[in-house]
Amino acid sequence: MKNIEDIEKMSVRELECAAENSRVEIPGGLKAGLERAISREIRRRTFVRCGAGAAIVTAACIMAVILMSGNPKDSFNDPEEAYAQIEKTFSLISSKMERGLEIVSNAEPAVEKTNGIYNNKRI
Amino acid sequence: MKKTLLAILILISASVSVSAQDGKSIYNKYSDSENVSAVYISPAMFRLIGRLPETAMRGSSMDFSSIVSNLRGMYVLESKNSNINNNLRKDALKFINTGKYELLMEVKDNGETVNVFTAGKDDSVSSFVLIANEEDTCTFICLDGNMSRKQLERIIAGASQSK
Repeated sequence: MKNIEDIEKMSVRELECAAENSRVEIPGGLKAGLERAISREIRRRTFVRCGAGAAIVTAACIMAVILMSGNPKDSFNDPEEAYAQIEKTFSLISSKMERGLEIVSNAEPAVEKTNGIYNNKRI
Repeated sequence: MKKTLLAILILISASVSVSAQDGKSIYNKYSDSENVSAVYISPAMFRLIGRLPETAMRGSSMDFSSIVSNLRGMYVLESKNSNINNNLRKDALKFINTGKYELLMEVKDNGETVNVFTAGKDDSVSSFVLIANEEDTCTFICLDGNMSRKQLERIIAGASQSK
């Protein structure tokens, strides 16, 4: 075994020859183990890439279907007819809400009476 | 790897949020069903209505011109199909429960329940939804736009008086 001082004195060519001639013992099964580890890693990366690709394609398909569903077709071609429909719709809204507004206005005297009693008691 | 997964999760959640219910998707789902009356007025038609001469609008009992220019879409569904009324009701309520709507009024009278919801700020309404349920009829009305709250209240009150 050479000393460090001897190694430092050797030229590059001498070092290369020494490296070529030296025999390093490779543990048994290292090659097979490395090949198994590499193939496992390759399979894992392939799986991850395929999964990512599938997820991206799925998300893109969902967005495409939604965006392509588009706006519905106008019910009217004539703006005057459409305006008449707007009037009908607001009348319908009004008739549906009317009962609620009626109940509120009917309750108003009772609320005012209660407020009056409460305010009198406070005084 | 982690960045890829994060990007995919963001993409999927964006697509799911886009698929959330709105007036248009509910209209698209039920407008072609049997015994369902459906009306849709598009933003383009509202722009055309806004250009109508006043004489055309004056013939009607109320003047909606002030609000028409601010409407972007109107969806009306009236279903007398008992098979789909429940589903229409559920989809409409799911749409309302997205969080941006607040309940304006609920009326229960003679077997009919009417719920009115609005979305927007104190002085403006970006969306108005009415869901009315009777025994055999379900009505869904959705108005999208940028309406002044006072104008909308005035028009609804005025529409009842002009009948």
